[in-house]
Order: sequence, then C-alpha cells, then structure tokens
Amino acid sequence: MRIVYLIMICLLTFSLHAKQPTLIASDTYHVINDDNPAYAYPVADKSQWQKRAFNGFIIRPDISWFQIEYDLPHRQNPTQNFGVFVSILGAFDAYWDGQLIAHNGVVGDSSSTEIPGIIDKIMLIPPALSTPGKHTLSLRVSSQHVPLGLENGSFFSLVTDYEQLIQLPYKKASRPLLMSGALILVALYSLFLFFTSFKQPSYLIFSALCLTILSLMLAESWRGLAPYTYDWQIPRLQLVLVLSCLASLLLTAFFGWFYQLKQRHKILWLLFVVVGQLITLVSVDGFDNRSLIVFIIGVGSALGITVYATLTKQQHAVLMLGGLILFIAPISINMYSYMDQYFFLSFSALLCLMLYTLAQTMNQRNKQLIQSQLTSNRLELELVKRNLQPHFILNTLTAVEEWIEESPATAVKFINALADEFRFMAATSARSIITLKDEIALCQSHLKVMSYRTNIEYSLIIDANLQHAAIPPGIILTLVENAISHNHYQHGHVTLSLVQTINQSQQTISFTAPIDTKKNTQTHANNIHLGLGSQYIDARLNESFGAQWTIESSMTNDAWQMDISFPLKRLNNTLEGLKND
Amino acid sequence: MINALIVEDEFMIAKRLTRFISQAFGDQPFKLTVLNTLDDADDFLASHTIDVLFLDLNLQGKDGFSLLKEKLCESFHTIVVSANSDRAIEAFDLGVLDFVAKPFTFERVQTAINRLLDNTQVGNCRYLTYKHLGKSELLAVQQINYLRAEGHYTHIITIDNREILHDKNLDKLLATLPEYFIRIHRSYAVPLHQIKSIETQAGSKYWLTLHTGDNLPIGRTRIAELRNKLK
Repeated sequence: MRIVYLIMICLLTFSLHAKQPTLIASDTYHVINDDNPAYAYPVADKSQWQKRAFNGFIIRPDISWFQIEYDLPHRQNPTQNFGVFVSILGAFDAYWDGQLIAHNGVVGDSSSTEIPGIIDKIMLIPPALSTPGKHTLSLRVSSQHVPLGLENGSFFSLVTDYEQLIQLPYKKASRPLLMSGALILVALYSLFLFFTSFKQPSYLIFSALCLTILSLMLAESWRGLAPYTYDWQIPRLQLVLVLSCLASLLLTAFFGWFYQLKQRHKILWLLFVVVGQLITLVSVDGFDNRSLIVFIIGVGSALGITVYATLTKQQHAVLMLGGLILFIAPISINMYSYMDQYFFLSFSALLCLMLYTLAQTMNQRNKQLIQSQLTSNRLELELVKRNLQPHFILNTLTAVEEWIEESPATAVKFINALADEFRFMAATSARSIITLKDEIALCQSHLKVMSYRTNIEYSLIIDANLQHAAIPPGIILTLVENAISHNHYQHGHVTLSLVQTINQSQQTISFTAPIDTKKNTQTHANNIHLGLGSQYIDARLNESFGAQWTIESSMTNDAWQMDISFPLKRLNNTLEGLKND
Repeated sequence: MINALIVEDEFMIAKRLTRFISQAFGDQPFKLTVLNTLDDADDFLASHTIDVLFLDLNLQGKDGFSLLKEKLCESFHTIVVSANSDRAIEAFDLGVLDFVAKPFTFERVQTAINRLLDNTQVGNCRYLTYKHLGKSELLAVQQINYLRAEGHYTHIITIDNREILHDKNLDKLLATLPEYFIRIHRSYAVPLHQIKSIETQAGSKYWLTLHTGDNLPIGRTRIAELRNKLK
C-alpha cells in the first residue's frame, strides 16, 4: 500500500519540476475597429484605439487591427531567435514593426472571403528586428467563422525563444499522452472484467470513466498535436465541457457503486452533481471555467462519498481517500493549468489505486474460486464415498450372502435396488445442481435399499408441485440418511415427508422425519447437530447460492423437521431413464 | 447354559449371525439376545449376566474401539464381528477372544464358538484392559508378575507389586493371554519367564519362587506339565 503512494508522489513531483521557458508577454493590447494598412506600422498616437487587458476580445463583424508592444531582452547567444505566439479566434496577417511576418488564413470581411487560420500560430521574428528594446506586433484580424451570437473571443499572445516555442505544444501534450496508453488498457481491461468475471457495475463505470478521461485528454491535446483552424475552437471547447460533465458524473457514479452505497444515496449524490453542473453551466462564463468547476463538483462528491465510506469503515476506503487527495492536490498549485496538465497525471494516481484494489479483489476471487473447486470436488467425493466405504460394501456383501443362502429372489431384487442407487449417485454427484425430481429419485432409491437392509418399510411422501426446481445434489439424501441413522427405527413402517413451498423467487423444502420416542435425550441432540452431514449441506448450498439460503431445524415430541430455503431456479435437463424398473 | 448377546445394527447381518451361532452351539444349551444399539446393550447388561458378546465395531458410524475397551474390562468374553478387518490385530492386542471379519461364513463363526466353548488359549493379547476408577485402562502383559483367582474375579500382581482386580475370572483371562502364561495352581497362573526356581517340600508339596522373590504354591496335578514346559 505504501509503495502505491510513493509511486504516485514521484510521478507528481516529476511533473511539477518540468522546466519552463522564459516568456515575454504584455499585460495589455490595443485594438481599433478600422481596416487601415498603415496600422501595420507602430502607431504612436493610439488615442483612437481601445486599450484592453488580455482576457479575450470583442468579436466584430468586420476587420480590426490589434497592436501589442513587447520589450525584447538581449539575446542569450548570437544564434538565438525569438518567436511570437498568437492564439486568436480569427484569421490574421501579422506584422512585426511593420514587416509582414505571416498570414494566418485569409482575412476577409465576410465568411465567404475569409479563410480561417489555425488557432495557435507560431511565427519567427526576423533576426534583424530582434534588437533589445520595444517592438510592436500588428495583427489585421477578422473573425467571420465564429458561432452566431458569440460576443467574446479568446486572444493570447507572447514572445519567447523560437526553438522552445515550437516544442511547447508537444511538451504540453506529451505528459497527458503518456497516460493515453494506460487509459485505453485499463478501460478495456475493466470492460473485459465486467463482461467476463466481475459483474459489478463499478467496473463498467470505471471503464466508461477511463474512456471519457481519454477523450477529454485527446480533446485537450488536440490543440497542441494537430493544428486546427480557429472555427473548430468553440466546438472543441464545447466537447471538452460535455466530457468534463460526463467525467464528473462518472467519477461520482464510480465511487457510489465502488462502495456499494444504498440505491437512494447513489441517486442523491448523482442528483447533487447534475444540479451543480446545471447551475454552473447557466451561471458561469467561459468554457475553461465551466469545465473546471463541473469537474471539481464531481471530484468533490467523490471525495464526499469516500469520506462517508471511510467513516463507515468500508474496505479500501482509507486508501481511496488518500488517492483522491493526491488526485486533487495539484488544483491548489494552479487551478487553470490543472485541467491542462496535472489532471491527467494525477488521474494516474486513481488508476494505480483502482488497479491495486482490483488486484486485491482478483486475489480474493481466485482464492474463493480455488476454494470452491476444492469444495466441489470434496463434496462429490464425500457423497460417493459415503456409499462406497469398505464398511458399507462389506456389510452389504454380508447381507447379500444371507439372502443368497436364504432367499435368492430377494438377493436379486436387492442388488437391483442397489444398482439403481449407484446409478443415480454416479449421475448426480458430479453435478453441482440437479432437479428436485432427480434428488427425490435418489432418495427413493436409497430408501428402497435401506428397506431391504433394515427390514423396515420406508416411504417418502412428496408434496412438490415444481419438481424441475434446482437443488444441489445429496441435500435431501443427507437428511434422509441422518434421519435413519440417528433414529434407530426398529419396526414396521416409517414415513418421511417432503414438502416444497414456493414463495415468489424463493423455495422452501421442508423435510420431516418421525422421532423414535423411546430414545433418550442424547438422540434428540444428535438430530439437531447433523455433524458431517450438516457440513455437507452447508457447503453445497454455499456453493450454489452464496449467502442466499437459510436452514432451520425444529422438533416436536414425535417429529423432527428441517426447513431449507433458497432461491428458486428451474432446470430442464433431468436424468430420466436411469431407473431400471 | 451359555448366555450370548449380539449387538448389530444391520438387520440382515444380525439375522445371519443368529442363524450361524445357533447352529454352531449345536447341543450346547444357550440363550441368544439380539440388540441393535449399544445403549440398548448397556441397559440389558445392567440387569443380565452374559458369557459372550458379539460386537459390531461400527455401530451408527461410531468408532467402536473406545466401546470395545470398556467391554473388555467386563467379566464376559468379547468376539468382534466387523468389516474393519484391518483393525483385527489391534483388537487382539486388547484381548478380544476372536475377530470375525465381515462377510463371514458359517465355518468362521463355528471356529469362534469353539474357542469360546474350549476356552482355548489363543495367546495373542499384549494388553489387559481393566477398569480403574470407572475408566478402562491398559496393562502391558509383560508387566504381569502373576495372577491369583479371587472367586469370580482375578487379582493381577504386577512386577512393580501393584495389585489390579479384574472382572474376568482366571479361566477367561488365560484364554486371551499368551501361551507362556501357565496355570500352576487352582488359584494361580504365572508367565514362564518370571519363574526362578521350583522347590519340593515334605509331603509332596511344591513351591515356586519368582524372580521378584514371591513364593507361590504349585498344584500337585500341575507339576508335571510345568516341569515339561520349563525344559
């Protein structure tokens, strides 16, 4: 457990220590809503111009000019070049101190004449114009391809070392992309696990969460990896917002199902997230803000659920709480770069934890599986062995000897009855579940053998309407065997009874055997403690029904009753035709 | 009149055993009781004296050996009739008169009955089972110094000079003890290796001295056989 935290902390510190290039930016820019080629040159008198801070620009239906001043430092070496980075929701022509340095798309006064430029444009500043001191960047901008009704567009510009500038998008994208492989793997793995072995919804949700985060990551990294024209910027931001909402909702759902909260609690948490998201979407401006806030709502509710789980001492809760705190910790460093950069890395903390708990669950499952296979084999063996013990066989042979000498016809009948019982035993013991009908036939064949051996006429009265109901093999047989061996019935006629009661999806099998009233109290105690027989019944029921069964024993003066309740299932294949009558 | 008790929970086997035993006793007057549980047998033994018990070692799946030890302390002989023939040696060690393995023939039952009727010394028990403070305990046969009859009971005197009272009479004990246990007197029996010397006294009286220093009388009719054995 400690190693998991250690790895996550290492990953996070690594990401925080990445080197940042020196950036030269301006706090303000000037804009004029007038298309004059003279504005390519630095304008000294900007009294007609509007001065604005770098928080976007007002979108105009026609062409505007922007001017930004930069104060360039001395070059670090003679070969260093400066580059200028412009990200604006529009097409533009860029001029550096009046010299045209780039066209980004084709500026136009209508959507038919304008060709959109790419959203992030990196341009080389001519070395001759990179002298230390003030310089002016002029942009002739048109934004004809923005969605109708959008008033504000994003605008950002900076100057820095050209080499570093062209590497920047890849650097920014590389960390999230490191995660993408892991995300796809974990998503597929969780999905695979959900469909093949663990039917818990939390795996399905986790898979969806991974895929959503992956999509979110691709939508975020798209900007750096594949330059796109500015008219795609808004759809991309909308996609990011939708994916953030989805991720936030899935994160909440995942924790809700992971801790197996009550249905009502799950719905309340999800409702809380949806309402929070709706309020955010309506009342907050800006795509980045909204994406961040909806996501934080989801993380908050996940944290809430985990705190609740920790308080109620659920398995893995403390570990998950630690993981979640690591997951959110980078928000406090820089809220905005969190979504861009740290989020994907800290999500790996959650992935690690998820894999860790998964490995633990798998381990437990494996143990259970091996245990159940062992149990299953052991049970089959036990059922068969009871009738193949040397003691049983030798006693039977002795009885057969007696019949052969005294009543050969009875000997033949007895051998047939014994053969029937063995046939049923062989056919049922290897299965983990059979029909009630087959179980009854098994009991009847056993009683027939016992009738011969004990000279007591045993009968089993059946009241069961649904004989195709499923039951683990040998359960009623064990009760029958116990009733006979513990009661020492001595004379005449013994009637056992079996009643099936069906209550919706549950069935109850009630087995009743008379008690030999002559016997002392010790015999009575034996009836309740079935001993090894009881272990066999428990193990078989556990194997087939998990915890969904109950067994009750009750006793009156002259009868002993066992009520076994378990889920009702139907089986269609019976072992017809085994009986050799 | 021989009183015999069969404890067998399998109806057919009890039937077979009854048939064979009755046949084997032949002219001998006998009374045979069949019970199918040990509880019933204990009830019966509380108020009846028997000479022989035919016991199934696997009654209702219980281990019969602890029960067997209890029965071996009693005054009657026990013949085990069981499918667990792999434990026959163990049963003989404890002092059963015979062990009849299932399935069995009439001839085998006849042999067992003959052993009973003749009190034949089978000679393979390695322990004597006796009751001490209500518990059945084992005494290794090598520990026996000599045996002294005491009415229906027997005193067992050990090498370390302990005295144990056994419920079986001397004849019955000797039937299960090894052959080197010799009757030297109506009331005494000794293992041959314990004898140190035999002395003759006036009036044709014979005395035997044991390694432990004890002196025991020798019956006049038994001296010849004893001398013969000691050769």
